[in-house]
Amino acid sequence: MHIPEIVGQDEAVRLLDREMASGKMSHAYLMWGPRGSGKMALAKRLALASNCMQSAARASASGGPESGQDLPLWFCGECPNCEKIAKGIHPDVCVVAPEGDAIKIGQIREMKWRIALKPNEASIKTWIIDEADRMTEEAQNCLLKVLEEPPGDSLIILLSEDPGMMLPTISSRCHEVRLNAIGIEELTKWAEAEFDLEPERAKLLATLSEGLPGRVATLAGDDEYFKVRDRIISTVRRVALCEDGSEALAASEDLIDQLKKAYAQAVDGGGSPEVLEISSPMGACDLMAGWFRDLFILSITGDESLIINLDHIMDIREDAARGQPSLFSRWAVKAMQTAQALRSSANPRLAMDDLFLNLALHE
Amino acid sequence: MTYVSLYRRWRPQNFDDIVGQGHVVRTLKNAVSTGRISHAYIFSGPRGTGKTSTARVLARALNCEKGPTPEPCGECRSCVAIRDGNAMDVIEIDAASNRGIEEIRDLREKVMYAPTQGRYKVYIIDEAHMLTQAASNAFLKTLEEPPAHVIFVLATTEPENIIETIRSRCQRFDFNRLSVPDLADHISRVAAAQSISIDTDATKLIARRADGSARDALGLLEQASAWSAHVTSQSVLELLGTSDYDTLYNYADAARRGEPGPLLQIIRDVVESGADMRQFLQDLVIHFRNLLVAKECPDLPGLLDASEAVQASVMKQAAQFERGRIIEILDVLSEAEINVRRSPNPRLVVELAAARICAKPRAGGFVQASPPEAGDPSVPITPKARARGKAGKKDSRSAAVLQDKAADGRAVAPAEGEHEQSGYSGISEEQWNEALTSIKRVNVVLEAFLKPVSAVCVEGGVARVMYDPSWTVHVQKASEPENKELIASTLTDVLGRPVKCEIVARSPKPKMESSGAGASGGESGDYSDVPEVMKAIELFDPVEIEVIED
Amino acid sequence: MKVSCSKAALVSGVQTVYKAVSAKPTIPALSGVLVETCPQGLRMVAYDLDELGIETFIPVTIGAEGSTVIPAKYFSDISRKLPQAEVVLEFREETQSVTISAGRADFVVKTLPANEFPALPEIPEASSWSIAEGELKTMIRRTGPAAAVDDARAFFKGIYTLFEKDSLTMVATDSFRLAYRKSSAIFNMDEPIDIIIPAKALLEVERNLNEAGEREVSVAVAENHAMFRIGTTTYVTRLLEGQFPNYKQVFPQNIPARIVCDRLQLLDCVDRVSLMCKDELSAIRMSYTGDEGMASGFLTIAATTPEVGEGREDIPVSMIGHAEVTVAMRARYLRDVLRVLDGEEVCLGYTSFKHPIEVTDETDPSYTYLLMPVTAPM
Repeated sequence: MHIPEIVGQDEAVRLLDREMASGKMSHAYLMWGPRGSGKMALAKRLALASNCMQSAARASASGGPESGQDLPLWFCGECPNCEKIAKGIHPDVCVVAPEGDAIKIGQIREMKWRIALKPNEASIKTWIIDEADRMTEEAQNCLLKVLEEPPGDSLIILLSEDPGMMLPTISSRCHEVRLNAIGIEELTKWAEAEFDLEPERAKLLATLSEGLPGRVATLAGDDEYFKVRDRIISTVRRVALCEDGSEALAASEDLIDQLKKAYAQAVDGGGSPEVLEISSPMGACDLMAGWFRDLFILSITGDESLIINLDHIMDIREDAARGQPSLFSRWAVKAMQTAQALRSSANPRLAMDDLFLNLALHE
Repeated sequence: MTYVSLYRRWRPQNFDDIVGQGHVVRTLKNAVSTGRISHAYIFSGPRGTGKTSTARVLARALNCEKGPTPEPCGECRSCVAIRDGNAMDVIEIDAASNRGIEEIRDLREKVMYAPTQGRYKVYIIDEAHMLTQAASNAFLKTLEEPPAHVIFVLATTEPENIIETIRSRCQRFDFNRLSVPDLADHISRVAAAQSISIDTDATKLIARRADGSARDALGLLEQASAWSAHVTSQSVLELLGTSDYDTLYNYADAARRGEPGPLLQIIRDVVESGADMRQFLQDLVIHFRNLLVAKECPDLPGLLDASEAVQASVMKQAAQFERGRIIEILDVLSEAEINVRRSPNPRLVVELAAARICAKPRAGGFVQASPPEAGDPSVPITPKARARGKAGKKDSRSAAVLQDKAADGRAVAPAEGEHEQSGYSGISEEQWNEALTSIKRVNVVLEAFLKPVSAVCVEGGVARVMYDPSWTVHVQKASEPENKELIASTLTDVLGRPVKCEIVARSPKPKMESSGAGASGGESGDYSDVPEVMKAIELFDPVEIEVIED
Repeated sequence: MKVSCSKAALVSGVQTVYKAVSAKPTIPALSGVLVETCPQGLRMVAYDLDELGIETFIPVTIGAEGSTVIPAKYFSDISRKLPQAEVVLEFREETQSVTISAGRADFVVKTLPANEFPALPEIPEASSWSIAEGELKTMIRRTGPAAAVDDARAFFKGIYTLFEKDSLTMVATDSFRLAYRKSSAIFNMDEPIDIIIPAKALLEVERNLNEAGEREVSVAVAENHAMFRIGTTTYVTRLLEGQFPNYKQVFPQNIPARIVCDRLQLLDCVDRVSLMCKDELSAIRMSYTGDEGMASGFLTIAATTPEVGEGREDIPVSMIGHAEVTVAMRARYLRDVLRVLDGEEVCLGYTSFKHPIEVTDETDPSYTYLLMPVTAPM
């Protein structure tokens, strides 16, 4: 049976465990943290702990929480509730997720009706709203009442990467639970053990994934990601300071084409979200920004322990010696701005041309 | 029910339970007892200030079987039904999901029906600002001739977005953000009733962080009391995931000295510990705000948003800072705080902000005033440097070269002690201060205008008094002939040799290094309103531009 | 699995459960109908996890045992259009498909995995009660229409159901009208039980009841569910949370005047006059004309839409008691009740223009329908 694993997040787990043990659970939670930090796993774990048929008996038998002895947010994993929640087929543990690019008011209306019914089997009806920041404004407003006073024994858990995008009236109704990235050291160890990696590789993945276990898990078996990444890095290295505008434009065109191909391939072949991300023009620009950041940091401090693209350390040393910190920081910003422009749907070709001309001619 | 948040259990049931809205409560109670009930109210104010709760209390007061009374009994069928949310005559609607013309037309028809149980049908319309224009106009017709038995309460966080014609037909009550003392009182009361043990310091901290919202405050209190049996400010900070104070202190220290290396290492450590960059920036902003407060009002430690344990340390650190420097850093950080929200690469935003902070002291501060030397590492690559780069590439750079490079890099930043605050060449800081003191005696206004001067450079009988270009008015003022004359004569006195005076607004060279960083958050705006300069920047490398306002 | 049965049995089975098929299934299998061989024949189940789960059995000849889930829409459409002949259903494990054949028609339909089909909630039947089929049908038919179709407050979308020692009460309201019926029934319980049942579920039960039927309906209530069983068909629904509004205080006391008239005549009249209503939301006016002290007079029904015109009709009525009757109401709310009553005459109890109108039928004394008037200027 599959029990969602929570890597790190000790504090979040402990907070919820203590709330549960002391009878201070809220009916509404906002769990927020970066993509891949384990929000859904934590939400499911809370659903398990809330509905496990043995955990209540256990707590009352021991006359209170057995902190220290039990796993925090303990659940038996065997009772029908546990089994169904773990399999994702529990009728009273429901997930609302964006349909298309948003969670629409109709979905929230439907949820409001269904949550008004008594539970089928659960002791606490649990509704998980994934990517809650993608609720439309109407949907958010429509949720407010039920979020404040859900009928019966209910638990509403909002998950978000970016809670700042929601109305303040939403978070104000929730207990907030923050999920952080995990310390690089801890994550490196975990990755080594979990995916049987060389320490160096594990550290690279941990660093590249910014401390997010979900992303490490994806990257661990993702050769395609690294292929695309190397292609982008080598293109950037070739273009930077080449002082040849036409070469820059050719490289831009070539890179856009290659990214398109990689993207299409990833879409068709069920590629990982990481490949999809990096082979999108904005993802590529983010990577470039990170690359220039490495050059900048190395040239300004000389401290190699600050580098992110650890596997390219030689290249970074070489490139960092070719320019000035001011130039690299400008490039980093330029790449970041380009990514931002692309996210607000700038023309990829023009944006990339502009960026590459900047690199080539360091304007 | 198993899971019920504290704020639901403490929902006001009576006018007197409503926290911090004395003016509203008094007027409403009075209206109920004198029977001067308006048909439509607007309750406006930020979240968690009690708009909907007050509307429900008003409904109870009006429909209480023993009323209408400002003190609803809480026991009659009507009061109970309103408490349980199943009163047929109290209808809560969220305008956001019923914002269209159809829904409002439906509402218009429905309000015509007499109340089934109570005296009044009370419609509580939440988020009323979300009504569409057409719906608002349709609703207006109802407001113009409201049936005698209907009371509307429009609750909104954005009253300005309710159309004027509706606003003018409603009696409006503004609900204030709750003050920190009001919230702290409320927290203590609830804590006592719930047997939560909490320090006064922690109470205040929660009150501050709740940002004027009673609901947020109780949410935090509840979580904090679960997190630790006895709530202290330390445990609240832990709960909030606030960055460790030492980290903030060290960051501020390194920032003051403008050392990029240590700053970037601190950021690395924070990243590697898994902390959230947005939170980190927010905490930094709070810390620097505290430093500023401490600087401005050293006698009022109570104004600090910091626990008592660290107040002394904040005071001490503030004393080491120049006021202007704190503001500079706050500027950079607050800008980064905004940018980081939308950035997929928060670490980079934070790092670039750090780089800008280190670049700043030479900008606003006091680094070489003379034009950059050829070898100055902050000059963007010259053909020569480029050649060097290419050559370097050929003979595959060795570690030694890299170290050279690194050393260069460090030199860029004013890490070396002597660079640190030296905006003076040919004149010492003391001498300049002495000059300022004597100018003050003669012309207080001029002295004030000279305060933001970033650097003074005396060379070959000319004293160049430099401003960051954003101080346009100051530059103008100082450039007036009689003022220049006064500066020159004073400096002549102080230095003991004759000097002329030039007022210079310059694009500070080290800014270049961070100009990129500046761009990330929108330009710092230095020249944006001086078209000639903008043109010059387009044509030339900005490093070499000096605007001489003479 | 291989079974054969008559077309009629199959169609009736599929149509009986069809309403419970989930429109937006959270588990793919829920978009289908579970068929399963068992000693009683072929068990068929559809379940939306929310308001409705329906189970029924049809007589079949079993060739081979087994179970599968057949996509509901195809199953329903195909079974209805099959030629009149013996139908054979055969599930093939290898291809995960079912063959439906009758006469010379053959359909092969991909199936859904049966093991993913959630079990219907089990409701202990030890404490079940029984109600006469016709009585239950009348209860639901007369109260159901007053429930709200669309309201933010969920309890308005349910029918409040109260079981007492010797009676069954059902109440529904959308806050503009209220329908109440209390019938005697013997439940022999210690403590009364009150629940709110989604109106949609009850109306589906009602659809399959026969007014003249002689069957007994077995009813069981668990903590979160209610179950109704008629013959071999079982309906399960989740109950609604919350407390039903205190409806008792809505009933007007001391009604001064009652207008009695022919039910169908009034219904026809309302139908005609409301042609001049702008839409479903608009109201009709009603006023009584009769000489002082006269027991009979005329009821005038009128509707006006300023930019369109006006309609008006008088019907003869008799009045018991006395009052100046001028009142406005939504036509649909009146039509709804006139349609579900059976008596020849209907009685409208009038208190004032702002009190609810009480609609009663002396052939069904256990029933009351309250209609909120429109009070504002029309």
